[in-house]
Amino acid sequence: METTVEQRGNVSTVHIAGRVDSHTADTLQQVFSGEVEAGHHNVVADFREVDYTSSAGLRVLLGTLKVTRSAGGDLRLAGLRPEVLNVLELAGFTNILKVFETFEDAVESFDSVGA
Amino acid sequence: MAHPPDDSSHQGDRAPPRVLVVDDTPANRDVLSRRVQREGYLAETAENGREALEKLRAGPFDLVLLDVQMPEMDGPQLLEVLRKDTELSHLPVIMVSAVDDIEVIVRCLELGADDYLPKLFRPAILRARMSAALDRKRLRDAERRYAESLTHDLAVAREIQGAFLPESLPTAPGVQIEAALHPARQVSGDFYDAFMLAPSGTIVLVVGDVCDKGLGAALFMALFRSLIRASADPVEGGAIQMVGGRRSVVVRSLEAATPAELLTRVAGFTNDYIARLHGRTNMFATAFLGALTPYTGQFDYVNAGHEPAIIVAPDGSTQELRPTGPALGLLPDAEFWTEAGVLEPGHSLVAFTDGVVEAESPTGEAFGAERLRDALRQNNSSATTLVHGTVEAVHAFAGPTEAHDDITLLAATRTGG
Repeated sequence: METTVEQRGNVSTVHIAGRVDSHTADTLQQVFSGEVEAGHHNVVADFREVDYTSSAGLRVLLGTLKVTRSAGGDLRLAGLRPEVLNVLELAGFTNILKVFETFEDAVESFDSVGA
Repeated sequence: MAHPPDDSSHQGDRAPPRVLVVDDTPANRDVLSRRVQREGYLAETAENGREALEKLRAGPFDLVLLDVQMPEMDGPQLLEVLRKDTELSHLPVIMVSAVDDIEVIVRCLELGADDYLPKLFRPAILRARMSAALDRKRLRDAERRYAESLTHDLAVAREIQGAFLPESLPTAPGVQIEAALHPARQVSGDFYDAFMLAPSGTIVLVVGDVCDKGLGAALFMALFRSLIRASADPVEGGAIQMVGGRRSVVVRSLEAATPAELLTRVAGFTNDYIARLHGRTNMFATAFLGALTPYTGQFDYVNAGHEPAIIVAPDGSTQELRPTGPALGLLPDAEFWTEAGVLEPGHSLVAFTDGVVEAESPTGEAFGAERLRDALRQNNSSATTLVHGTVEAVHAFAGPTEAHDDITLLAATRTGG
């Protein structure tokens, strides 16, 4: 798994590529924690290049969702592939997380909601 | 021969190291032994490789000073034997040789000798090399003890975790129940449960999968299983009066509850308990909770974010029991719905964890839903064959590939009208 972080206005975008599983979830957690600790509470996780996520990855998303929201921000997901979307849907994550089809929509959603 | 007075098993780190001096020349043995003793170590001697091996096998040594050329068994021969011996392979060996047999020294180092000294050594160099070799051994010993204690702890954890699975599965006329759990590691985040509620005869079936892996998941497996069992079964669980919070339930209302009401309460209570009291760990579990009435085959279920359970008909057709709520523990106050159905005679309900469908072949292909349905059709004669036949199919597919995830299956088959 590879990640790159990019600032888009008041939104931190985390581009993720590869597999999010028990081996890589800690690294992803550190990337999200780094953004939150830097005061970036509006976060978009770009999933366009993610081909698999295990429950360890879902756990990272849950934790990041909670801390960003409690700080007045949010974690939003973009570009989920069908098999990854299916994993999130099954576990009920699509009901608690905002999911966008395109990366641009996810970034822009923070402006329109005024976060 | 002279063993140190202390029993070796009681030697602490402060006990003087024991050094075996191996040389066929008495004068060399004496010089080396005196040098060793001057460092505060205990010295013992052997005249050749064979005698050295006997002594090394008889008692624990910390270091060997080994001559190269000796009758019977020479230095390199002894070294080869030591490195193949599981008990002695990590024992540090310093070769002590005449200056001109460099080729032999190289061979000894390749065979695993730790260091070498010329026979005309300076005492300071002997001191430094012995000290370095003993330091390395202490480090290796500490690592080995640490690894052994971890292995022991994991074995204990595995045994205790086994006791969080039901000791036996409930039996009732007309229904056969079977389950299996194959952990990928020593401990598992999967669990299953099956128990009969005393007043009604309803059988509760549970298959759960705690997020992530390893010891953390195993700890939460124990918690989730206990919360579900204790809140579902006031008679055997016995913990119901201790239940607090918004969704608190008391025994009287539980006994009067329909199976559907019971399941939504159990799911809601478990969810809120984890989300409120353990929220900062962000742990959650997906779970299938079913309540089956043996005589009629009527069942209700809550699927909390779990892999759809499958109903298998005698003709091999299948039906999925999809999620009716989120995984347990995500956020407080989640809503769980129930769905109902009838398990007709000859039909089976099979719940499983994602380790079954995500099991990978040596080429990295997933077992998948289609192969699972095929395996269920081919083993569709009883709950026992459904569970074990499917596990065998998964294992055959995965071959020697190390399992990524725990594999759990539970089946309930309605055997008669």
